[in-house]
Amino acid sequence: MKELDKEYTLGVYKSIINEKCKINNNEFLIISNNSIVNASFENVVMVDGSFIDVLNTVKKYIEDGNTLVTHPLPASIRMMFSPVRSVILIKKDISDSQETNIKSEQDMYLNIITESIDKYKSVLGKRNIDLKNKSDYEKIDYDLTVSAVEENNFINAFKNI
Amino acid sequence: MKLELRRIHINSIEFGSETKIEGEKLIIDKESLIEELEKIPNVKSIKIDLAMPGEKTRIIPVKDVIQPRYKVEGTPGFAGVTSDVKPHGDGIVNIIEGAAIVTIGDIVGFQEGIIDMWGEGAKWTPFSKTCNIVVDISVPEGIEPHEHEETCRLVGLKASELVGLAAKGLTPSDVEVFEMGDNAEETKKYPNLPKVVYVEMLISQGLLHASYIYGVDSAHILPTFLHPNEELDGAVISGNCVAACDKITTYQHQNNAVIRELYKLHGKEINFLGVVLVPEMTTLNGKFVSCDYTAKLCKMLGADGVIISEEGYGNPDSDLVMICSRVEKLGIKSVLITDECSGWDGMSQPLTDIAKEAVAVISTGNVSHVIELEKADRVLGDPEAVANIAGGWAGAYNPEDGTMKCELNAVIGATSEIGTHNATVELY
Repeated sequence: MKELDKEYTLGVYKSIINEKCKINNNEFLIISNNSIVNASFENVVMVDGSFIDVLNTVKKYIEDGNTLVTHPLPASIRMMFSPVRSVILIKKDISDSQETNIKSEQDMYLNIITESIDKYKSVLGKRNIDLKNKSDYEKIDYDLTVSAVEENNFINAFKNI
Repeated sequence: MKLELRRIHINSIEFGSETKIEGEKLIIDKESLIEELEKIPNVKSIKIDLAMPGEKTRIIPVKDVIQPRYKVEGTPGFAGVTSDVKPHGDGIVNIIEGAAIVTIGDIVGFQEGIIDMWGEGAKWTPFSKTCNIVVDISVPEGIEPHEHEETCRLVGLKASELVGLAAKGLTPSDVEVFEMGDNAEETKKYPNLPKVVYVEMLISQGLLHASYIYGVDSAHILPTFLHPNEELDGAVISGNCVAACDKITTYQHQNNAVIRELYKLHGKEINFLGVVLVPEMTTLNGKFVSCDYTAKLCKMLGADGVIISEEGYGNPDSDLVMICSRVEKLGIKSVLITDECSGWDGMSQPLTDIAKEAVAVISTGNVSHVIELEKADRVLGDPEAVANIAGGWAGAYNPEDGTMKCELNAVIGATSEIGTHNATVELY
C-alpha cells in the first residue's frame, strides 16, 4: 500500500494560504458569522447572529448592488442546521456587468437570496439549530469557503492578473 | 467494453481463522483484516463488528458503504485510489452479494447517517438487508480533518478488497454481462432508437462534500463523459458523508440503479450513449460553466433525451434545474430525479429552485418525513451521534422508552437520488 502523500492531501487545501491564491480583498467580501473565517480573511463582514441573520445581511448587500459569488445555501441538508454560514460577494463598484443588463442580473441574485431565505426557514422548521457542534460546523464552513475561493480563482484566473 | 459481474450470494457472516466463503456463509479472519488495515497511514486502531439483518443493532454515524468484490480479470481495486491508474469497465468481477463494508467513526461531531438493522428504521435504508461488516476507524490526535477523511475513505475501500479476496477462485452461476461498444458501433446497430444520456450530478464542494473519479477530486473538473461500465466497475467513489439520505455511497455507485435500468433498455427501447458526470460547483459562475458545458456535451453526443440525477440538497437544486432548462432549450427532452424537502407535512415547495422546463420530475422521497425509531439493543459507533438526532427538536426523544423521532435525512440511502433505495413513487 502506497504511503499517503501528505503534500497532495493537504497541498490542495493549503494552497489558499499561498499568496498567489489569496482572495483579492479589493473586489470581494465575505458575509459570515464564522469566527474562523473572520480570522482568516480580511474583507469579512462579521454578522452577530445566526445562519438566518447571515442570509438577511446578504439580502441587504444584494439590494445595495453587490453581487453573489457563492450560492447562499449549502449543498447538504445537514449543513442547513449549522449555526454558521459564509457567503462570498463581489463589491458593487467592481462588478463587471457592464455588458449585460445590470438590472436583470440584480433581479436574479435577489431572486436567489429570497428563495434561499424562504427555503432555509422551511427546512429548519421547528428544528433546533445544532449549537453543540458549532466548532465542527465552523471548520467545515471555513473549508467550504476556502474551496469556493479556490474555485473562483480557478475560473476567473485572468481577472486576478 | 465488456464487464462480467458474477455474484456469490451469502446470507450470514462469521469470524473464523481464514477469510473464505462456505456455501452461503462468509467467514472473515478478523485479526488478519485488522492487521492489514492498521498498516494504512494515519490509522491508530481498527475495530470490526458484524451487524446482521433483523438484529436490534444501530450503526451510526456511517461514513461510507462499499461492496466487497474480487477482480478476476481486468483493472483491480479502485484505480487511482487503491491501485494503479488504468481504465475500469472491462473484465470479470466476483461480487460477494449480500455483504457490505460499512465504515463508521465521526470526522466531525455532527455527522449523521443511521442504519437500523430492524424495525421502522430498517424499512428506509437498503443497508438493513445486507450483512454488514462494520469497520470503526480511530486516528491519532491532531491530524487534520482532510487527512482523517482520506484515511477513512482508504480503509473502507481497502477493507472491501481484502474481504473480497474470499471470492477468489470461485465461479458462481449468477452472471450478468454488461457489454456495450462505442457510440458509433451502437448507433449503427440501433439507428432508429432514441439516444439517451444519463447525466449524473456529483457533490463536489469541499471537505466531506467530495466525489472522486479515478481518484481525481470532482471539484477540479469540467463535466466529463464515462462509459457506464466504468462506474459499475469502481471508477467513481464517494468522499461525501454529511448528507446521509441522499449521499451516493460507493456501494450505490458500484450498483448505480439508473445505469442498470438504462442498460436493460439499451438496444430494445433506447440507445444508451453513456454517462455524463457533472460536478456541483459552489460558485454561481462555476455552476454556469458546469451546466452550460453539460448541455453542450449532451447536444454534441446527439442525445434525444437525458435523465438527470442529483446528489445532495440546497444549492445543487439550482444546477439541476439549470441543466434541465438548458438541454430543453437545445431540443433535448429531460427527466429529473431528485429528493425533496417538503416539510413535515410534505406541503412545502420541494426544491430550492424552479424552472418552467422541469415538468418531468421523479421524487425519491421527502427528506423531512419523520419516522419513529425504537431503542436499539446495541449501538455500533458513537452514542453522541444518536444524541444529535434525538436532540433535533423539542420532543424528538422520549426518555421513558428510548424511542426517538428522526427525519429521513438522517438515514443512510433513504432518499437516494440515483434510485438505489427502498422508497418508490405512487401515482394517484
